[in-house]
Amino acid sequence: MLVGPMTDRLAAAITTASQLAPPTLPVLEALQPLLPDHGLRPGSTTQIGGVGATSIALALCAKASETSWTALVGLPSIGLRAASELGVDLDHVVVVPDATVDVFAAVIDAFDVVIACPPPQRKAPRIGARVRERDAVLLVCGQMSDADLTIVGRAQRWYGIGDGHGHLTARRVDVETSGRRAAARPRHTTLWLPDTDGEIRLRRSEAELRAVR
Amino acid sequence: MTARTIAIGCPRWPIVAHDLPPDEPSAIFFANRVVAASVEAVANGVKKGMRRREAQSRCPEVEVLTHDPARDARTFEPIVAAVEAFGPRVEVVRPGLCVMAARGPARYFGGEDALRIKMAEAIDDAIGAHRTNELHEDDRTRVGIADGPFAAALAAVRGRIIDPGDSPNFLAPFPIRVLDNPALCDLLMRLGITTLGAFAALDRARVVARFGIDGEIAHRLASGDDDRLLEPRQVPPDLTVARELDPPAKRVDIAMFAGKNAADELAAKLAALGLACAKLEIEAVTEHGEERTRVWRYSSAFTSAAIAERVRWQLEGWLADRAQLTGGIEHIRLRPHDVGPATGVRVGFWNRRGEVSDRVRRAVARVQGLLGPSGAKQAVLQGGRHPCEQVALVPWGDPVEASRPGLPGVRSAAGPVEVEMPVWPGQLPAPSPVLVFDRPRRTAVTDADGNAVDVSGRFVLTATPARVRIKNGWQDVAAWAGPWPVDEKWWDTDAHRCRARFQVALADGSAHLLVREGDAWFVEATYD
Repeated sequence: MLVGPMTDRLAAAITTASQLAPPTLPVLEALQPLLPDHGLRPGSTTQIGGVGATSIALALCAKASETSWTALVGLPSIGLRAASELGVDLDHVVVVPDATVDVFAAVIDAFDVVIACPPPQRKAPRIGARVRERDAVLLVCGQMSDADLTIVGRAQRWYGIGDGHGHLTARRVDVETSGRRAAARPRHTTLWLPDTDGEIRLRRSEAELRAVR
Repeated sequence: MTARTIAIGCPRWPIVAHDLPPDEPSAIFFANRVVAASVEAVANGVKKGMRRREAQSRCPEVEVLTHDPARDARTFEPIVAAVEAFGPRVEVVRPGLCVMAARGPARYFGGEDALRIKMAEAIDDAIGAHRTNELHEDDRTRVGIADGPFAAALAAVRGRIIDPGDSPNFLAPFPIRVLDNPALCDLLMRLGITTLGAFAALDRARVVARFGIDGEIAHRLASGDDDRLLEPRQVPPDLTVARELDPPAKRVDIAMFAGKNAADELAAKLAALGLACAKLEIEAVTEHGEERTRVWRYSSAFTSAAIAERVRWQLEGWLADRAQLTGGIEHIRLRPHDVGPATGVRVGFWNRRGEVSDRVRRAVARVQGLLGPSGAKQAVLQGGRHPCEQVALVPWGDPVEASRPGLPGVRSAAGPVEVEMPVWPGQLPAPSPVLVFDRPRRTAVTDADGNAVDVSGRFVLTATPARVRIKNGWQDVAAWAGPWPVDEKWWDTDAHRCRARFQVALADGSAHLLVREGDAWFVEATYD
């Protein structure tokens, strides 16, 4: 019988879509459960909203920024000291304070990771298409239609500060992730962003623990 | 026999270059010491090498000028050009002093004395042409002629002509410190050799054996034997490339025919001279006289394609903005800056900043073409007390250097510290706020009864903060900390800032950095 070996050989010769896709960019271990691919998938758009959105966006690109170039577009208020504390390598960051459609186009063409303010509503589909075509990773701090993934900070609590004493040391954020395809089912995660040691850590939420049981 | 040399000296050039009224006392300081003082300041007792405080105590109205050797050199350039009118091979010793071979010009102008007088007049005119204020009598140009540049420079100070062969005798009584080699002079003085004559009397072979090449040069100078080949000042070749467009081009692709052509010519010119430029100024003018000039940097040497690319970007960025433009482009001019020998590009070995991919470089250049050089910036951490001061943003292409020393988060110098690093007491501990507002937003803080909360001059709160207005809505304070006083630059009335900072965590979970300054509350940053 030839069928057995043939199918085996065929199976080996066929490259699946997932094998063709470029490898995902790494993220910090604590953030992997947020993402369906456990990393930043090139060609994907993520909108990040709710509380702590900027911190989450910066933390997501922290690991990737060690080797990949990151652009911060249209976010002039970002505190870059905080970014560096969250692990972003400022040597690989370019800050573009203004965000026009041309700037989006130029930056998406070249940079591996782009953290940006929401693009104009009308232009969003075009920008999304460009991201897919150029295999960039676009993290939008705010609303973006047609995003592949939506990350929302639902609630946060700061620790270390009292009634007239102490100072902010740690924060717990409840994060909800939803999106298309593999991310269709919303996931709930609780993060220390950062914990008292300045690290970003995962804290499994009660809901998820119940689901596991 | 040492060649006859003419020296042209402008006394106190750094002061003269500043173009101040002649009777105004002024001095230039560097590293807290006087490096040059005006005639009036000298008359009041200010001396070279004096500490700033002493200079100001002797002459309180002295104007303090900044030390800028580049500026001095730049302003000296027209003077050198005026000297060049008398003869070739002008050598600039330093801004304010240049020397030239005297034999030819002296013969042409009818003797050394005639040359000296003519030259002094011409140079004074050249200086006057670039000044609005009159020149002080003592600051007039002095010209001297002697054997060799060193003797000529000293002769110029006295405005004398030293007879041929008489220079060693002229030099002999000068104190040893005119050699401008402090280490050697100090040693010689301690050995009891206080004049040039005494030093020149030593056997040169022994001087070389003891002091090496430094000693030999000094000995040659002291004995009036510095007849080295005058290194002629190289007239910089004109590298500017210009193109006229007739008829004026209204579209980028049409303008680029000329642009590409000009780029090729510039690249060829540079290559023919073995030069490379790291900075390029592109100037475009429309038929109605509107013009836009941009300076482009490139981390490696500009190639023809790279030049053309930048011309295109600049024109695209400009022509896209129709509102600013009324006519087509008529003139394109390319002017290279920072021209140096083309020795290839040195890519950083350890420094990863060298490894910028072409893709990123192009994209950033394009963004800068659209928004200007500060449209794309790189960040570097630096010392500072406030979140907004702790990051320096430099336009892409400029050297990535912090403008303040130190690093945020460094709270004390631990362990052996080789480089002294300021620690900026009063900075906020990590985590830092993620959103830092350029312009802090006004807000209001009240206590539980709705009365405004104030901070006294001794940084004491008048009441416990209970509610804060954030984005036009009032929020209850869940927790707070402060006040943390920051009293900066209290010694400077203009720059003095006195602030009290608070961290507040609000009932909705958000946290903010509040600042009380004067009688207003601000949200300086948010811990998003």
